[in-house]
This record gives sequence, C-alpha cells and structure tokens, in this order.
Amino acid sequence: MFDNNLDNDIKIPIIVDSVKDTELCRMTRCTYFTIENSEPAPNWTLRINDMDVGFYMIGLSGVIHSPPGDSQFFDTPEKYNQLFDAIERNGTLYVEMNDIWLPNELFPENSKRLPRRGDVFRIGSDLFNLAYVLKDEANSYEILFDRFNQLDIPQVLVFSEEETQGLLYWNEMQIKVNKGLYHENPETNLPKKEDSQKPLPPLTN
Amino acid sequence: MSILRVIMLDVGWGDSILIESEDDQGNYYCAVVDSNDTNRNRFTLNFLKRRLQTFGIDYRNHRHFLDFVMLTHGHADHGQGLKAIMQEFGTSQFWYSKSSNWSSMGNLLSYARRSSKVDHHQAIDDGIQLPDLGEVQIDVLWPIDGNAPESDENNNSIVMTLTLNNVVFLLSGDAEKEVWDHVAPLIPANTLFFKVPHHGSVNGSFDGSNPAWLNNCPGHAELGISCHVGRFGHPDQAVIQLFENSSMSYLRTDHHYHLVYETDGQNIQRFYHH
Repeated sequence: MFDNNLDNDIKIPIIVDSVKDTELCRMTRCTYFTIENSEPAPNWTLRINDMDVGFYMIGLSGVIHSPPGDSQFFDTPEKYNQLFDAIERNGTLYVEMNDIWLPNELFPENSKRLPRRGDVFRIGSDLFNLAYVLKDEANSYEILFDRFNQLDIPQVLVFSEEETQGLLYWNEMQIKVNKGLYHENPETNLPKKEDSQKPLPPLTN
Repeated sequence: MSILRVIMLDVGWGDSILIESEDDQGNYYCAVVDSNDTNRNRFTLNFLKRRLQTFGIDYRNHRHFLDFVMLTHGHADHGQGLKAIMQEFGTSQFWYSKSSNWSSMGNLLSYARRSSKVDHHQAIDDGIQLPDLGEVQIDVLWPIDGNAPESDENNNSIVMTLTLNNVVFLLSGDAEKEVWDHVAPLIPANTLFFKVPHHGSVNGSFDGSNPAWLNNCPGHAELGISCHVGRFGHPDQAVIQLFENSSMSYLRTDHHYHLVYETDGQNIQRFYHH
C-alpha cells in the first residue's frame, strides 16, 4: 500500500559514513535506509487521491523516514529491529542502504566538531533531493560543491542525538549477537590456523 | 587446468570485485569481494547474472551459489549492494572485517544472521584458517588476530592473498599506511597481481613522502586501481607518478573499465574491456 497523502515536509534520517576533510575534498558521505524490491510481486495497492489501484509490482525503491507504526524516530534499537522484521518478513521486500554526499559546511556546528561516523542527522526533503540527484550527475567534487552553494534551497540538516544513540546501541547489539553465534562458539566458528585438527566447512552447498 | 581470475568491475566509484576459480575437473567457484551497487545501478549483480548465463550456469539450482562474499571494511562504497547480491545468489560464507563502529553497515550483520541465504558468517583476521576456493588458497594478512579494531575504518580493511600454485594475487581493501607498516614486509615475492589500496589515494600508497608498500611489491606485479574519480580525485596524481617512475604496469577502472587478471598458477594474463 502506498499513500500519497503524507506530510511533504518529511525529514529523512541520514547516517554519517565517512567524513572527508582534505584540501581536495570537504564533503561527507551519508547513508540512508531504503526499502527495495527486485522480484515481481502480486497483490499490491497504490492509494492515490483517495482511490486504490491494484498493481503487480516489478520493482520498488523508496526512502525510509520513520519506523513502522506510529513512532516518528529511530530512537531505540527495537525500532530498527521492528523495521527489519516488518519489511523483510515475507522475503519479497528488503531494507538496503544507499548514500548521498553533502558539503561539510552544511552540518550544524552546535556540537563544535565535524560530523562523526555513526551520527544521525535529519535532512530536509529539498536538500535530500538535490544531493540525491547530484550523486549520479556530478562527476567531480568541485561540481558537486559548487551546485550546493549556488542553489537557493532550504538547507535543513539537524543532528538527532536520540537516533544516534539508538543506532549505536543497535549496531552494538548486532556485533554482540553475531559474535555469540560464531566467534565465541567453538562448534560453529571457522578454525584457527594453529588448530589444524578441525575440519573446514564445505564451501559449496 | 586450474584457473584463478580476479575481475575488478568499473562501477563508477568504489570497489566491486569478482573472484572466479576453476579446478582441473572443470568445477567453477565464485566469490564477491565488496560491492558498490546502488538502488539505481545494480551493476555487479547484473554483471554476474549475465556472466553466469554466458557460462551456462544456473545459480538458482543452488541455495548458496556463491562460495563466499566478503566485506573488506564497513564503508558504504564497499558494502552497498552486498545484501541484494546475497539475497539473489545466496552464499556459503559471508566474511567481514572487525569494526567497533558498524554505523550504516550493521544492516549486513543483521541480514547475515537472519537470512537463509547466508549459511555462515563471521568476522575474520589473520588467525583464521579460511576454506580454499577450489584450488585457490586464501590467507588473511590483516587485521591481526587479537588486535582491537582501528578507529579509522579504512584500516580495518581485510588484506588477503589468493594463491594458485606459484602465483599470488593480493587484495588490499582501503588499507592505509598504518596497515602497510605491518603488511608490506609480508607481501609474497611471487605476487603477480596487486590491487592498489584505497582507490589510489595518497594515504593508501604513501607513508609521508615514502612509498608505503611499493618497495615490497615485486616489480613485475600487475597493479589494478578501482577508481573513485568522481568524488575525490582518486587515484591521486602523485600515486600515478609513483607507478610511472617505478615502471610498474597498472590499469585503472576509470580508463580501462573492467579489469580482468587471470592466472593458471604459473603466468598472468590481463584483459580489460568496456
């Protein structure tokens, strides 16, 4: 179901992935969650102008701006889990990451530091749209940077401390759970080089 | 005859690398190291689909077709698209680097744990014995067993060798000078292919004003650069000049598109094509 009667002033959560602050480049790469579908899937409905139109989906890509349910923010690890559970449950849809680039100067200076890897910001839709288009169209840092500075768009970019903490805890949880499954489990982990007694698992199934 | 083949795909920027091997019985093995596919350009995924069709291989007959998928480190230009690739092809193994801050890549850890398309997943280091890819031996040179993750994610990159008989191919992720202090002396003398680290950036190839790894790399090795030219001017002209001055043979994805390096365990051939 897609409903086009949503708030146009959506602010999209983006996650700082890598900060470049050199003479050649002063830009930050940020990722965002998308919902994807690459396999044909029946029984979908598009709600447009309060009318439902059934369709057979042959592809989908959309930006995720809020967790499932009524909550607006990803401020707890559980909301990330709910997102993945809700979208990936039936195997047709999945959550993916994509990226945009933003000039470092756009990031708010309230914390008096450059953005750091793992920081979550909320970006206005106009600024996001520009970054999204430029990502593929600009073939040099200079062009990208100039276009950001030339265009008169609302440069809405707000640090989201609660979502930064929520993401940090969620990531820590992933590492901890995965370690428990394999690294710290002698029954399942790959053998150490000094432990040549243990048979290697077959590569192909 | 056994074959090892490394294909560096031109995906515009970032790394997408296919590893193929064939043993002397004709069995085919395939792995993916990093991907920078995006929702608008599933280049690696579609390239592999078409390639397998060309070979007459139906990957859908296998639950876990890929022998392994590797994320060298947790940066988006190396991890984007891996989920879709694992979802499409399935993989026996998903290997990743050690990092204390997975940031946006926690998505992959979560997926690996929950999906039936991934049979086994694990962070790896130089203490882990990895299964062979057909007749190709895989050895991790970095990160070091027991070391805490580096604060610079590039330096969590997995650096590894692929060995078929007498020939070594070396893949380097985005490892920078701090890694090369340890790894450069470990570069095997029979290395015939060396992936230039960090897209040919200064930090990947220089330690101050000195070459970080070049002096330890055999002069006859072929160098491959997966470029990042659209964003930061990678490769850096100083790095290119370093290779020119050393008379090293190099190809770059922004000029030569897909780079193919193939060995029978004795010699190396290189191809590039649009």
